[in-house]
Amino acid sequence: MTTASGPLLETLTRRLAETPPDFLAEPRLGPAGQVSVDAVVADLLRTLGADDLRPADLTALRPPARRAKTERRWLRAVLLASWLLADPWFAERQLWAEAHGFLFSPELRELAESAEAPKLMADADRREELVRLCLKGLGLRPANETEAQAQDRLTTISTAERQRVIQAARAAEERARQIREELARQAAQEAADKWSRE
Amino acid sequence: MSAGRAPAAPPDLEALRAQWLAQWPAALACWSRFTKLSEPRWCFTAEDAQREGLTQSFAMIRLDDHAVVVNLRLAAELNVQAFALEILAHEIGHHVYCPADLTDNARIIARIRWALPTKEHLAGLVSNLYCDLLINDRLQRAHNLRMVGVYQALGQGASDRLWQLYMRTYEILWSQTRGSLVDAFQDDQLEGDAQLTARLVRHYARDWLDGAGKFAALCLPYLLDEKSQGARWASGWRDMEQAGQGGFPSGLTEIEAGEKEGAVHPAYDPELAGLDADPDELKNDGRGAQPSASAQAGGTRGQAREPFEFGQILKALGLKLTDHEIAVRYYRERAVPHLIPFPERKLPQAVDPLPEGLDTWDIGAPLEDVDWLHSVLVSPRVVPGLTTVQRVWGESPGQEPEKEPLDLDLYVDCSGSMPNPQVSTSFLTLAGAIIALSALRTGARVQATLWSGARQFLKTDGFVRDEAAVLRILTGYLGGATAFPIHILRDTFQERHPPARPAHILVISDDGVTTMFAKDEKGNSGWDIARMALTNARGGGTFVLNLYQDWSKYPDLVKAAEMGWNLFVIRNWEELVKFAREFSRLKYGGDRV
Repeated sequence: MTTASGPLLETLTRRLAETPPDFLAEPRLGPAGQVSVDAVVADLLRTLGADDLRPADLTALRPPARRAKTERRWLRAVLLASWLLADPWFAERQLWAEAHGFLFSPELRELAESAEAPKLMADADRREELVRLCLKGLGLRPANETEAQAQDRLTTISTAERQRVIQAARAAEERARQIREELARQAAQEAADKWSRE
Repeated sequence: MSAGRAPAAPPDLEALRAQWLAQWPAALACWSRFTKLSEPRWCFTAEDAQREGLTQSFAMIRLDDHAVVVNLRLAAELNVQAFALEILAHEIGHHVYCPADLTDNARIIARIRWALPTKEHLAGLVSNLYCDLLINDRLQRAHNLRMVGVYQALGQGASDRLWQLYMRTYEILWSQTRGSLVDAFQDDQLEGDAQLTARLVRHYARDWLDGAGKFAALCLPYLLDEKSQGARWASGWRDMEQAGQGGFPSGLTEIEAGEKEGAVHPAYDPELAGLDADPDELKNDGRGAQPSASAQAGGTRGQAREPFEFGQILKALGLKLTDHEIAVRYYRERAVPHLIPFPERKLPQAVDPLPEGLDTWDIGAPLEDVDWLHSVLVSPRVVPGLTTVQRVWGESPGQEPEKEPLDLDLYVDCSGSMPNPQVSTSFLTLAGAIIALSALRTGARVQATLWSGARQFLKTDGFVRDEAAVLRILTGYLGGATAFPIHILRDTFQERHPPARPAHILVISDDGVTTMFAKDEKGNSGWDIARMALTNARGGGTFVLNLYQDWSKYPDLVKAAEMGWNLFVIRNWEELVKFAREFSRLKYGGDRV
């Protein structure tokens, strides 16, 4: 998929880093929680040029309390992404359809599964990942980057990819550690044998 | 070569020097507008570089004299002449950010060594790579310097895995496209390690000491790789290889809290890996990144390093010291916190100094004797030896009794049965160092004799006040047969009568000390000589022994104790502390305190 040049990456990561506490508050799930995510998303999409939310979207954003375990993380990520998409750059371009697509995309759900919203905001890599995922979902890439650069950087910081290669690194280290310990044990044994012979 | 002055520079290098020098203020300002360092020392020829000790890289630092040294000829050859600001700011970063001083450099190396079993000798290289990562990341990100360009200029041609790891880390840190610094590769382990390194650099940017062991643990598999070991690129970047030259770090004999525990691979650190690790699993195999309860409560703190480990850290710092010199410093550092009140003799009455006018101060007299105020009053134009005067002092009877220290006659056994104090900690040597330094502190003089077989001995030139000379004897090692130098004991005390100061005789040995009671070369009984020495010394005598059973099991030692020798067995730290405490309480005759 070809992408168009979007806003500066740093502008958006900075915006995320300065997320107001309201967007990190607990989403309303049944009687619990503080923020109505459906209202926030409806406001956002209206700002971006959309009409009212569809009933299916409303249902998804107002899950019953019994689905809190599976939906809470996603709703918090949606809140954070809503703050990101409320940047004037997007509002000026009326990208409501693309924004809607991203908020309900599997990519945002996967990211939400890997980290809680506060970590998505506080960790520099996760922050960048959310911004890049968001831009990609909107068919954009950071300003001053080529498509190849943008894709390469997204792959590098992707949580799923990172977890895969770090697992590989850990497995390799584990194997190397066992070999080192075995060699050390053999060396100690040889030294002990030599000592007893002498 | 003096700073900033290089008289015989070729014209092209002179122009380059001017160009680099113009960037110096900006390079300093990268760190702080208050940063002050003297101008770099410029090398134009191989001889200049050799003289400065700059043999492998094109730039280096020395922490002791806060020097930055740049080999301009090599910089030009390596095509980095356009990166003056980047390279100078990098070298300054070593002085003001990481490691900033010699002691912290030593602390980094100490932590790194724990993570490099079998490759401890590469601790200096790993430390250099780690500090470079921290500095370069800061310069590239916070100051927009072209560090990428420096590595693109320098790094062509290398292909080993350590190089791939290092360059890929920079690519990740600086959001560079894959392949921009190192050829793209398909290796999940390498990619994972590079990701971890990048996170580690950011995570420990402030508390970089805590990340050193983790970085080294990550590097270890790559250092074991033969191709990486032979990598020439790494030696070319050793700008901290001579960083410790001329200085000496303190506080290194003790292992710091967390030093050992911090040497874990970052893949096991949930903070860095970002993986949902099973804490029980990590705890069970001892690799958890969280410090253990013992570490939190101080961990290995209080444990001491062995002398050879101490020496290896110093060598990794670039200090050029022999094992013997290292041992002297090691035992001195360990002894100093435990110095004891060394016995002194009370004289009936002290005298107070009484000023008695002025006399001409002549060249050859100690400079500190000059009375500058009166010299200037004599003539405002001071002519040494002509207008300089010194105060003449008389004596008047004082109120307080004077204290006169006992001298110390020290005999150190270094026969083959004794441990070599330069390799492993010798508590006997430490005991000797504590007593000798305590004695010197009170103004006593010390005669030290290192002995092994017959006619195998080294000694100071009589009773001396030279601390280094005494410690050199104390930490020496001959490793031969066992024969106490009875003739030295005899000659020292045969004619030692008042008004010569009383002396204390301290013998450090094991069961070989009984050779002291054999006959001397003239056929005299060792027992008679020992008794005579003890009597004439008038300050008592002590045997500090490394025995595996109680001294009362040795008939000769029982007899020695009856003669008046004090006997202590020291095999560990607790016995050493007990000895020091009891020794300081001992009284030698009625007129001593």
